[in-house]
Amino acid sequence: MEKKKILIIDDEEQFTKIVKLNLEYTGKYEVKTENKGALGLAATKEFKPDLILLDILMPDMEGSEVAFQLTNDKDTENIPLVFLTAVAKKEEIEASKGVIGGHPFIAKPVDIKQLIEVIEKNIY
Amino acid sequence: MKITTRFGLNEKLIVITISTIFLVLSSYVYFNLKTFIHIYRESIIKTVFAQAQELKNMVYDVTKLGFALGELKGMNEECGKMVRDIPYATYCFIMDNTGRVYYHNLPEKVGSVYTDSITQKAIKTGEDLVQYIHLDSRENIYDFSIPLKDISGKKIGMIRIGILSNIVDNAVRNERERALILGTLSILISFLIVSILYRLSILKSIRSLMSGITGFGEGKFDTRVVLETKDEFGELAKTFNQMAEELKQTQDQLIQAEKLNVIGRLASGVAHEVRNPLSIILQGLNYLENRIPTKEEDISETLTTLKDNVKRADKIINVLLDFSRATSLDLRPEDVNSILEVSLSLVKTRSKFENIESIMETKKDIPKVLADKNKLEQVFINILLNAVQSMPRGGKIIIRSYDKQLEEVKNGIGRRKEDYFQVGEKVVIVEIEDTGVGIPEENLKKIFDPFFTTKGPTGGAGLGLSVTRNIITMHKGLIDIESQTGKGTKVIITLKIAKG
Repeated sequence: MEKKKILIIDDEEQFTKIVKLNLEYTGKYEVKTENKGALGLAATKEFKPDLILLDILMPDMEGSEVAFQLTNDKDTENIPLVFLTAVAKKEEIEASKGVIGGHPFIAKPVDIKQLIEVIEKNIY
Repeated sequence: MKITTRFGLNEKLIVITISTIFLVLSSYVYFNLKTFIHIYRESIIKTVFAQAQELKNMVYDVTKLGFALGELKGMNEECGKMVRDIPYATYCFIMDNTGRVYYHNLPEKVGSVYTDSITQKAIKTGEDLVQYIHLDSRENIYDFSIPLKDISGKKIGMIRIGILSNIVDNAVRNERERALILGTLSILISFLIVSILYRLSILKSIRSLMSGITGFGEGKFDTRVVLETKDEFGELAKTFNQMAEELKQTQDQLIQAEKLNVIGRLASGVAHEVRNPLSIILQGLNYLENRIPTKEEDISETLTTLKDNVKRADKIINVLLDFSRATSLDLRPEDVNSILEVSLSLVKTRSKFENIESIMETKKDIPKVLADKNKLEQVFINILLNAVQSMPRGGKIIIRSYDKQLEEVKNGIGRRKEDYFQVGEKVVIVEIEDTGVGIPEENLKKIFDPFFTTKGPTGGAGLGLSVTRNIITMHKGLIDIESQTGKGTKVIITLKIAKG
């Protein structure tokens, strides 16, 4: 079975590193990480991921901006996006049914099991 | 309002007091003197008539034996005695119905015949008579005429006694002097008493007022005027204290609001900064879990404990976020009783509800309150959880609801626009009472402060009651806590009734 490609865009370098380790340990994913929004955009075109995990709050470019550019580009518009956020509350996630602007999102801190569940649900 | 005045309270008070005393005293003396003259005159008349009665009896005793008026003996001396005995008497004589004098204190006048108008009048009447003889401006005479009758009741003559009017004038003069002395004395004594009272009470009142106001002015907002007199100063002190209390409360509320505001602003920042490291720790733990053989119980247990603590820290962040998010309510008319029931059943499943008896004393058909159902549920759950935690060895939780009309002015209840409730407004009250350990008095004030906790590091973040009050405040409601150490705690929530 071919490994699914996951791109993680998050300014927390240590976080991306460990999530990469966790996902790759399952043997089902090939993971690339970027710690800047702009670099994430470039990496998307090159890496052609099956799913992108996108942090909302980043210093150089906000996750929403990255998402906007991705969904407005023919090459990338169909790649599933999953937002990561550290400022949401559980109740808010429940209330919004886990979707921001049509994209699902996960509140940090997230357990790897939960993360994989969401990935599996949204990946083609 | 600006009032300027040239005189101190001291001078004003003295002038007012003395003029009042003067007015009262002079009118008193005036009316008293009139009464005095009247009474004095009456008493003189009585005395004279009583004395004359003796003389009259003497004449009667002889004439009833058949002797004529002219045949009496020693009567000149008797008349003389009368003049001596009655003060201010000037004459005493006995005459017949023709005006002829038979006996007189001055014997040389015996035999004279009087025909003046006073005598004429005295002859005509059969009754005791007092006439005023005006001689000149200085000396006037009260003329007393007492008819003498024989055994058949026929008038045979009369006794005439003259009293100088000076007797009254002198008495009045004496009385006037007495009044003057008395008045002066009263004014002096009153003045003394007023001055002493003034120093004792008013100055003292003003001083304590001043010290209270000065203290308050210096920014010691806990300063109160200690003055419990029942006069206007007491009123003033009460009003001032009320104002001070309101200011203090407003200040407290502002501080509280500012604290909450700061927490709110901090919350999302803190959430971001804390949750990212928490995420790294959690992911790291996940990785270790997968990589380290977990057959050793200690290792798996340790990993689980670490994960639990990440969740605990995350929970605190969640509560913190309540502050930044709790800005809008979804207010609808709600039945407070059913919210109470749902909250209680949730608490029963969530906490150790052992040996705890819950008693619902809710009023049926209570008016609906204007509330955000979920938020109010959170409030009741918080309070109920606290109650459960305060009774580790079991106890009772009593939940009451009732409606009532607000009567007394209290914090948040008043007549000002900014008071949440107006006096006279109908409200719904919810009481949650427990028989737990209670709250020490020194903690009662701080109980709503964010991050105040007595539960120690394993307890909550100290935000539960703070959030609770925040929610009630957003409902424009009131929350009060009454507690006694060892006896229990009662939380009283006042809520607005939904109109229409």
